[in-house]
Amino acid sequence: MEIAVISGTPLGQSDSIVATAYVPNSLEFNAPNPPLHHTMASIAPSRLAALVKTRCAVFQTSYNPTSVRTGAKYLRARLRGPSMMNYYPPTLSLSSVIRQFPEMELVDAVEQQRLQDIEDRKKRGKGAPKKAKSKADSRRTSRKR
Amino acid sequence: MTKIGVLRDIKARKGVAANEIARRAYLFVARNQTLPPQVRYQAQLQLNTFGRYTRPTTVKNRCTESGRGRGIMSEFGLCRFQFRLKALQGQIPGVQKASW
Repeated sequence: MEIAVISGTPLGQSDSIVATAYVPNSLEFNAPNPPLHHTMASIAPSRLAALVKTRCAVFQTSYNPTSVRTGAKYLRARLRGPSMMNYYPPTLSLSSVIRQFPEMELVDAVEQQRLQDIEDRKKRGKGAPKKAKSKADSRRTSRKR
Repeated sequence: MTKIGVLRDIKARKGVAANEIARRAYLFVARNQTLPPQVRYQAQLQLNTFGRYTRPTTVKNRCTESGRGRGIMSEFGLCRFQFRLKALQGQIPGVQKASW
């Protein structure tokens, strides 16, 4: 029975089991400091709760003993948008330069040629079809399969 | 010519950056178990009204050189082939071809 008390085993167990379990470790009697888990059980849960509460007050964290989901992690996490925007290196295109400096009146030759080609095709009746104003106008519904 | 996938990814990145704070606020309310269920439900409904390209999961790191979506080495932001080309040209510091 002495072995059971010193080793911190719950008293509900029968003496024979406790004795057989701790016979090989009987050298622990001479140890100056018992292992940590032997002393932990003697601290009352209320004392531990008070410790956690004090720790929360000291380190300015919220005391949440029942582990309720407070959604705090969504506020605590850093914003990822700014670093996401920096992924692609900045690119320089002619169209963006023209848009940025309209007073310089630059001309994108390739774009002008494209618009000219579209005009020419429309004149020959080869342009893209008009966009449907409603579902009923859609060519897709009247298309034969 | 930029790939459509890259353009879509840039659109997603802009959307995420623009809506991040509002989404976080709604997430906080919707996931907070200390708030009444009615409020949480309303917040969740609001979250559902955000568009597809406001969610951070729609952002995908693509190759910054070729726009390829697979086989990306995240340390360099390059796909495996562009990584090889650049490494062989000596344009990636500290990387050299192994031989033994």
